[in-house]
Amino acid sequence: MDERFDLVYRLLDDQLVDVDGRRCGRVDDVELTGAAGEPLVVTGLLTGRGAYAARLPARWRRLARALFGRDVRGSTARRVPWTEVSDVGVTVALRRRAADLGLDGDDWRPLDRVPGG
Amino acid sequence: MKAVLQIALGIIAAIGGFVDIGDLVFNSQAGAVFGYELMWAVPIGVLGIGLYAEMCGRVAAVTKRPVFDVIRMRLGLTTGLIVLVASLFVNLLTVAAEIGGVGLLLQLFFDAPFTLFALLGALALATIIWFVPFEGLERLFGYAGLALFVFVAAALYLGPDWHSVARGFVPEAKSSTLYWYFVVGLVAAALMPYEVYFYSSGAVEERWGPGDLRVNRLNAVIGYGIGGLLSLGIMVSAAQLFAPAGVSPDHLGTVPLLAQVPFGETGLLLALLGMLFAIGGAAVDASFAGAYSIAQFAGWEWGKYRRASGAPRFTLAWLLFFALGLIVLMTGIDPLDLTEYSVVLSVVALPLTYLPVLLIARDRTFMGDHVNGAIAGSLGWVYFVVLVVVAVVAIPLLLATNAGAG
Amino acid sequence: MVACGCALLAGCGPLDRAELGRGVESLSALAAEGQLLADGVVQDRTRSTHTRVHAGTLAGDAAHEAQKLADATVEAGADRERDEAVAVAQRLDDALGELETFPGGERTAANVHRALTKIQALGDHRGHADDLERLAGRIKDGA
Repeated sequence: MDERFDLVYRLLDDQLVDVDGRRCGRVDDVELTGAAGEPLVVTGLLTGRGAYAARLPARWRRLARALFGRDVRGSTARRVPWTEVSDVGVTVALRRRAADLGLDGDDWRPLDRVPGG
Repeated sequence: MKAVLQIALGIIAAIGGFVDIGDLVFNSQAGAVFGYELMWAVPIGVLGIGLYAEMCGRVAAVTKRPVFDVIRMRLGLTTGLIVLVASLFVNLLTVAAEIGGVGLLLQLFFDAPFTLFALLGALALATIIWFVPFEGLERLFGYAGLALFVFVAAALYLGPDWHSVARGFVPEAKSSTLYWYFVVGLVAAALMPYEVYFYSSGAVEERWGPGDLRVNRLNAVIGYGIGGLLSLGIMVSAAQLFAPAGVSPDHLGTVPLLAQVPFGETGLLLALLGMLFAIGGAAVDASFAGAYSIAQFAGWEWGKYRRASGAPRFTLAWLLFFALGLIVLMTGIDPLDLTEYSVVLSVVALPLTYLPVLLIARDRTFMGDHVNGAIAGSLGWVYFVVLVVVAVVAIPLLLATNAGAG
Repeated sequence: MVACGCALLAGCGPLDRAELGRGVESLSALAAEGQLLADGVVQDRTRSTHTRVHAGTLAGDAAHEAQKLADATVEAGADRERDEAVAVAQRLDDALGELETFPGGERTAANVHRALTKIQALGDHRGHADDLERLAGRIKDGA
């Protein structure tokens, strides 16, 4: 990870990849913690369609919530603590497996038993 | 030796994805209506797609980011979402048009109801995709699509007036709206976005790295160059066969006549076969392009190399595209009408999918030493202007000419 | 595309001479294509499945054009031309239909080719009263 980098340009909307190299979502929002006049620290990443509505222009927010769902932690949006991030380069690399971090949304396995593919 | 084979494969992949139902229809109609006068529009389209594909391939090889990854990252969520929705809509029309084309061609082979063959064709394609790995798909459709060279052979055999052909490469500013509609159509048919979504994702599927940049460049130049040659072959033979007789190629079944008249039944069969696999390959590419777009935008796992179980949402996405394409066809809309709309509408969406790639390709933070050189850089911006102009005039021309009816 | 979208909308204005002329042009294009098809059969250089399916498609176009012209109201003075165009379109439909029914028959194909030539008024059938070229001329002159 570079010493200085642009949060929006290089972190937001980037691909999340777990320790096994599996793609597991994008950085749909960034969580900053602090207060006015005090240091603002990146404490976590949000991933999931529930995070979309908050980022879209105000007049589309209702439509967005209807389409993408409200921000429900644990289902439509999940939080990844910043401590789980091992590197930010082309992708945001995570320390553990997607399943361990609750990012196993793509782990739905109906196609496992179908031959071929 | 292995390097040569690898390059050959890439070229075949580029050809296989280039000539689709849109190119077949627009090039044969252009030749039938305007003779050689629109030849100049083809190299413009070919140069454009070659440039765009080279950049996308280079970005994918160096940054491991295929097009929709770049779009989301560079344009952000809101704009990226708009581009995604527009792309998916156009992609769907394209898939429907290509499946329709497959249905029409199967009907010309076997004479049974179109609806049945559209369904069977879609099922056959889906099955082939399911069981055949990525490289195999490229090879299958690419090799068989080479049969389209029969049109180039026909063009040469019919002995065109080379003086007129040469003059056709010089652009002429005519006052006919139909003429400019065809210019837009020819350029748009060459620059279909699904081709680059597929190409750049394919680069990642095949694990390209900076060492593959030479292959990438050769693919773009030779592969799309040959595709352009195929398009010109169709236009020139149409100019010789259809234009003087006053034939208007309004159906897919008219196009194989270009090979049947000079070469008899063999020519007809080669033409039908080449068209079947070129269009079928395009259906595969377009449905995959749609699936790549959604999966890459959302961050899901994607890629044929992950196997169906490894990328379930991606797999369901392309299956869904096939299904939706069939549903669109079942509304009874003529596949050739669908083709015109998909080609024209896709060029309207094109500047927004092109710009982020251009911006990343010239950004040293991402590309390091592999940024756009002087040629790619300046041509890149020239083409952006060209694309914006084409995008702006496309729909007005479509309406003014009643989709080419004149 | 053969179909003029306007004809599908109710309340469309009367067909003017220019549109009638375009209809005749598209009939001419169909006849020309039919001749290419017929040639292939005469020389036994084509596949009958392709001939059958494609001739059927072209015949359908001719029939559709006939109906479209018959249904349209024409501007004053162009009635006779319109009626003749409809008649020609029906002859076109018949000729192409024959090719669809007998896609392998060389004699049928030769007959169809002759019929289409008459419709087009090429060769030594010039000057025939009900051919497309004269019809197109009369439509333009009458404007």
